[in-house]
Amino acid sequence: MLHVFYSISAAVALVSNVFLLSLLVNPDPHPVGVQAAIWPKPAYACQGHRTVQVSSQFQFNLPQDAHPRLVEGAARYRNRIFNSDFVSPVPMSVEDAEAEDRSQVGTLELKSLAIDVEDRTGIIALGLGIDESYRLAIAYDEDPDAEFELDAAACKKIAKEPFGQGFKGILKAKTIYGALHGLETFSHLVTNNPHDGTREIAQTPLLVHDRPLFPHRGVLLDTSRNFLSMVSLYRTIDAMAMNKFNVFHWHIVDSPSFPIVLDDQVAGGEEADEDENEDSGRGDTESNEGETGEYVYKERKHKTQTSSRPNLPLSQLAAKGAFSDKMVYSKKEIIDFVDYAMNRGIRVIPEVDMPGHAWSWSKAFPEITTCLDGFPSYSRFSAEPPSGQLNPVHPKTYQVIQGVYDQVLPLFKDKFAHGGADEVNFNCWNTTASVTELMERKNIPRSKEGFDRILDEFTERQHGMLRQAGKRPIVWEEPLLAHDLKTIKKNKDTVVQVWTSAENIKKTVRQGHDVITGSADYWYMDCGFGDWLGNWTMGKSWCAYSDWQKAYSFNPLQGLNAKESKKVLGGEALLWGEQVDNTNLDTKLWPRASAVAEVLWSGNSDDSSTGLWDGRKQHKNTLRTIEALNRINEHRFRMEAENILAEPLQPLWCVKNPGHCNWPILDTKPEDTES
Amino acid sequence: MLSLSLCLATVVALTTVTAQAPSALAYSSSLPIQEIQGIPAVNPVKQPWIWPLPQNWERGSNTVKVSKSIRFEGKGARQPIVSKAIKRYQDLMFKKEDYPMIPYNWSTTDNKPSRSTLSTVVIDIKSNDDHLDLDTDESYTLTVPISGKAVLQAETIYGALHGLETLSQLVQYYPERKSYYVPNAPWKISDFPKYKHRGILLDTARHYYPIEVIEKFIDTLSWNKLNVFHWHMIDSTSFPYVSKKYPELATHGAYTSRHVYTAKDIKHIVQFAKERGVRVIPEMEAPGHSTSWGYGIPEIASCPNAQPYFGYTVQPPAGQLNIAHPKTKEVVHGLIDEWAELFPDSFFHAAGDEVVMKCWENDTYITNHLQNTNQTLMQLFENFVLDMEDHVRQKKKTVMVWQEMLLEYHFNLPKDTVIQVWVGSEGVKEVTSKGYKTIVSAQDYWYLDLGFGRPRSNPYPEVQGAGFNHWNRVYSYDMRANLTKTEADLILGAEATMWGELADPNNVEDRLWPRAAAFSERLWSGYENPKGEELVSADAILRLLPWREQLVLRGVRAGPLNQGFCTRNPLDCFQPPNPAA
Repeated sequence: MLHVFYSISAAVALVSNVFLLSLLVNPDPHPVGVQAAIWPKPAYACQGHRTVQVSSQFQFNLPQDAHPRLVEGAARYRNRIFNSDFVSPVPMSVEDAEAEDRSQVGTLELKSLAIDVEDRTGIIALGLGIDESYRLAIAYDEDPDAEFELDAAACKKIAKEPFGQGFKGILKAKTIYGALHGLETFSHLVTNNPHDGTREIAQTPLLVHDRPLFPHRGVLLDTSRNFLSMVSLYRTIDAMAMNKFNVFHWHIVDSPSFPIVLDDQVAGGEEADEDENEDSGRGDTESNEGETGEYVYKERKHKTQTSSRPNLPLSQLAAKGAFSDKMVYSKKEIIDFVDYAMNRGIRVIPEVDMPGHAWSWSKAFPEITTCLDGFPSYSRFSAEPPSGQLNPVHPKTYQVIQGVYDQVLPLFKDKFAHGGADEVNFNCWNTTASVTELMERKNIPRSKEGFDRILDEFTERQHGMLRQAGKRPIVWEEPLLAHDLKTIKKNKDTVVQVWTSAENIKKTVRQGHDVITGSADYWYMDCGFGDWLGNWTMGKSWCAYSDWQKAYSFNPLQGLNAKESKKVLGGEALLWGEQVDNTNLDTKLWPRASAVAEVLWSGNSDDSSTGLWDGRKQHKNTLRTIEALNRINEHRFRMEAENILAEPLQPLWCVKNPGHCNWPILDTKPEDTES
Repeated sequence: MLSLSLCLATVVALTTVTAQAPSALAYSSSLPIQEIQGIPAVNPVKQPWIWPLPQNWERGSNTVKVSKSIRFEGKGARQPIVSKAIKRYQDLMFKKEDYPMIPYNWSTTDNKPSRSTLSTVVIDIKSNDDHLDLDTDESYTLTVPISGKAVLQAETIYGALHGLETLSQLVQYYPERKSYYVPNAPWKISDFPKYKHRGILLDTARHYYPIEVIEKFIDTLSWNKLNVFHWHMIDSTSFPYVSKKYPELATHGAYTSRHVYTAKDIKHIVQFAKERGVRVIPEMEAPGHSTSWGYGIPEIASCPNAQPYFGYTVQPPAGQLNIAHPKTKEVVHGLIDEWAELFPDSFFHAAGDEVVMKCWENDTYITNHLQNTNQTLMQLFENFVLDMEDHVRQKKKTVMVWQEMLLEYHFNLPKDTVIQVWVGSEGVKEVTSKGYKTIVSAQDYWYLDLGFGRPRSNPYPEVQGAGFNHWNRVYSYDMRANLTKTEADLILGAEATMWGELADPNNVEDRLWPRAAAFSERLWSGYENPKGEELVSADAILRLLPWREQLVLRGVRAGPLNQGFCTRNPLDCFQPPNPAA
């Protein structure tokens, strides 16, 4: 083993020395050969050694009847390609720069990229597991419909292909969402020549065959603990699209605030706002994207039941529970936002957390909440202030939940909704008279098992409402792993999101549930900034900071067999809101979430069959971190050029001198202190 | 052990507080609880919302309206630097927050405004001298009566600037009345800093900061009554200074031709800072951390970018000044000559940190020179450093160096050298016990750039960097710990650092603020008030929360200290006495 490292280290040193000479002899701060690497890394790619120019008249050629999402997407990418002043600060490797043939720059122009989408009119609705693959070719009369898995021979053939005037660009995809990913990739390949502003593509001919490892690739933002403006949310969607994320998990309501503006519910099912029917119709979950690509309103299944719904002043939830009447989201804002995200291939999944984390409901409906305690007793009832849970035995609790769901769920077109259910505190219910009285009456013991039963009944009713609205529920891990709820166990289609530890993934899939990964030990982006309780001088974060490399090292399939692996839908980068608001959202999230994005899209190892690093079986060096560093450094600047305040991962010198700031490849761990 | 016992102490202290006031209303028994948009806002106002807290303050129980066309009178108001500051504060005083996260003001009265309006402030400054230095008197007194003119008195214009800042913080916007008030008048404030040297180090070599970003940084320093910008301008990674005599250093050593600071830029920054009472102290990083010099003048660099760098430097790229080469001394002297003029401050930082001997030991130029001159490497190193420092002294400057010069290399430094401590808090004792003056930058409390992993790609994902110093830890550090009175008196002040490996204009404000504000209060207000009462973090958080909101209102991207609920209800978010619950 040691020999291998020695030779790797020697190779690195050799390359570095060559580079060092060139740096000292010709310290041109603007090397022409700049890296144009793709983030996240595609599944398969072959590249040659010729640079071509992108014509200033360059067009994306779309089918006449292409879906508006694709048409708008192409326009968006054309705009970025030609208007961005982004120049990668990362130079090409010495070998690549030497091999690159620029003799045809100025004579060879790429005039168009033909986009061919099988489902060009968008019949296939955006949802879990749709085909997101694409094939991109910039080659001489080359059709990308070769074997999906490009092999070394195919790559060799492509690279040797003589280049004449007949070369062309082709992008093929099964769905418009695959095509959007292909356009994103294409935009990463186009570079801005800093000397004359022309656009170029280096290392052609090229072939990219790409598809994601996991169908669920998400970012969680929490808009309850601190308010995030719509501007911040839209910017996050832009950044997500640049990283091929496809799920925005909106943790919209929690204890600290209730920021969705709802209408009062009027008995008989008519909601107070005249416009409301129109809104809920547009976003109705029973609707589907028809052949025209427009949303078609269909009658809700449970519409008839609304006649039995009582008067409920649901508008008071935000009026009294939001931080202010400016720190709220209107239905119109949510609908537009969901639309914006879907236009970029991103599903929006809402989470109204319950029955724990529910203090914010109490101002409007005190009777349905309990344990509303401040300092110092909140700690008896919740992990963090303010404490407050829904009262599971009060009939009105369910009326309010139903009322909230009636209005909230239709705004989100996705087939999934998150039911929350994390950190339910039984001590709270155990000190709530109405709960304990009912338990005594029904002879339910006031033990963990007894409260599990209470929670089970709550969850059954809550999930019933979600299912009735056409949603497949997602829950946090506790209902299954801590409470063993029958409702979850009998409904195997309930998706479980693991958050406390990666070790719980196996436990969850073994019980037959699909799982979403992204636990605090790797993918919590909010960890490591100290405790935020007011007076706790030496308080530390409960979870450690994950730098980008730690985030990158996570393998969602660690220790799972092939069958179990199929149950892993993907994962999420989670940014909880205790210490996050508009001021620091971007820097906390990017580019660390980009590391998460690559793991979910194409993995973190080139040396394993799954694409994922198996830390226990393989040596650490098979993790792709060192190769990925140059690409993520570049990608961070690419995001910055799109006004996303992604933060630096290294001194700029290191970015500009690839390979020079790696930890020396030694078989020992680095010491723990340095300046 | 230390942190454990401190934890316990906190718990004990808390228990006492809660025993007195079980319902979290420790400070609000006489106060109305306001209900704003459904959220009860307990008004915790033991101390006024002034950051950093003034030394002496008395307040009354009236509320005075403030005219938006408030005038500043007196000879002092016409002093050029003061009159420019007045223009700035006429804007800063009237920042408007229609939907504040803190929906209550800090009045301890019923908020009924008095009939009179504050429309005039008289500024009285004893000396018109605009010299700014370590010993500049920064004290001021401010009185705001119930009716009539407010009076701001100071020995120097810089004291007056601090007074204007305090005045601006007294003015509160009342959204419900859509106008501005000073609550709790009459006010009598008499204020001065506990420590003279209150700085932040900004590293513009690892990442470049445009002039506008540095301006905003200096503005924010002044709002926090910090008075030193320690400019770590050059380092191994880049040489952004455009020297008149050696322009090739920047031509080849800066990241690009736009990532530079010219003499004109520096003069502008120095003047900009002076107008805000901020001294700019340049650091000439040498002879370690000097790769970037070698791009322009190759013969003055040893082991430039040696590969693998490991063993030649503590972090890449490797490269130190060739301390044997005559050209090196010439260039260093030349740059000191230029900087001595560009930076008028009487302090000059001559660095001297993190030298790695292996770099020089493997440089044949140096080993040959040692043989020829029959001296050891340490002698050569000491001679180089002392010569550099002597050259600085010839410019009538006080020499600042990093602690290694004294504690690791044991060089024979004159007693007037100011030693900056950084390798852990224990260095303060070592330096002061040797009788040297010190500036404290204890890495384990006041390095604000740490906690984000290492700036390397490495195959060991579980390796962590040093820990994050969160605001309360920053606030907790007492630099006088274990010192005798004589030793403690040698502390001139302190600097929090913002090293540049993982910071640039995108995230620097969030990294610095509001944690650097917590630091600033320790230096300005100290650890006890003049009555000897301890200043504790449980009180500070109640003022730091609104101060952070104020910084955001002033355009600083200061990160939130906690969730919005806690900003609204800080007492409900204290650590409970029994954290295990």
